[in-house]
Amino acid sequence: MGQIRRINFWFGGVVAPTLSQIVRWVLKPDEKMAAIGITHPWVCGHSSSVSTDVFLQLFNLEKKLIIGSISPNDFCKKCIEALGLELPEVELINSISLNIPIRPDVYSLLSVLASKFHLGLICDYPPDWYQRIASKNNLETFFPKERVIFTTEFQATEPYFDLLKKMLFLGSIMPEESLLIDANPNRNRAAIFLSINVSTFVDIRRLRRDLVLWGLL
Amino acid sequence: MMILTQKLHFLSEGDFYPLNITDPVQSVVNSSGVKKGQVLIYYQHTTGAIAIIEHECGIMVDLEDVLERLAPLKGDYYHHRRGYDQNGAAHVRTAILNVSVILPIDGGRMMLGEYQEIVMIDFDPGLKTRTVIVQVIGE
Repeated sequence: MGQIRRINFWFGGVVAPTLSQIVRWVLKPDEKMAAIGITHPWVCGHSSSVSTDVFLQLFNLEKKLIIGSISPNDFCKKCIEALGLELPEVELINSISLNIPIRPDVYSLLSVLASKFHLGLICDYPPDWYQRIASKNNLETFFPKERVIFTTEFQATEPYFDLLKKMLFLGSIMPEESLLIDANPNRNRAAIFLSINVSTFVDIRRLRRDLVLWGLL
Repeated sequence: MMILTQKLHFLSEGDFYPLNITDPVQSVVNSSGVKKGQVLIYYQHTTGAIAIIEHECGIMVDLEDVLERLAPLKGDYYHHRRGYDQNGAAHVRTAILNVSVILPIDGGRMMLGEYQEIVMIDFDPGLKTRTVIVQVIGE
């Protein structure tokens, strides 16, 4: 394995919650799953909070927002409709963009990694929302503007090859010199096919262990 | 003796979609209060499996490669002649792997090895939710 020179993070699901997760948390928290300690973004409790159909609707809306085929306002409007609520879109937008929790454990790790590697970010949130979050949390310290790619610039994020190639191009690095940290198995598979090194994100404990195994921590 | 049965539903994007479900399963064990016993993890579909495996991306791709050689996605399957669905590969892959695993519990924790994880793998095409039944037995 070559020396890793650049570590790229996918934003939703790693640094911050996924978009559909944050919508569910904000609008219809799943008390049933939370009661037994399960808050993972891909777990659908089938509780009275969110039915399977709505769960899948939110996920499909998230996919459209990620590639920019619907606007943030439309995304919020359709999420609110899907959940059967009456709420102005701007209220959901503000809840999402002003209150998104950055994972503190990942944030701490960013501080450590930034001192040793160049970090890049693939952001699947709309640029406006990300700018608010980044300002509030000083994310530019880790991810300078020139090292942030927004997925909304790409119309096709499956199988993500164009996006990943741009990530490499921006860093002027070989795929073998890059590590991608992402929670999504499909994106990770695409990265491996491009010879990019990958760590599938589950939680900070597993990520730290993986980074030790890669010799990066 | 306590028996707790919990259904967990996971989002899958399909087509060899591996999901690490170790922590949600441990949460169910925790909620049962069982300190010594066993947990059964059962995938309630005919087109996916439960694997105890190191959840490393390279291993997932390797496993997918092997399954593709044994049961190629675009293979010609007699199952398809029924005309109802085109997921013959998914059924064959499931039959080769396990739909359930049983793990021992001690001190309220599943006795997984350091790099062992519980990974649910959905082979069926398409976006959907999948059901895993977790049954904890013990005291």
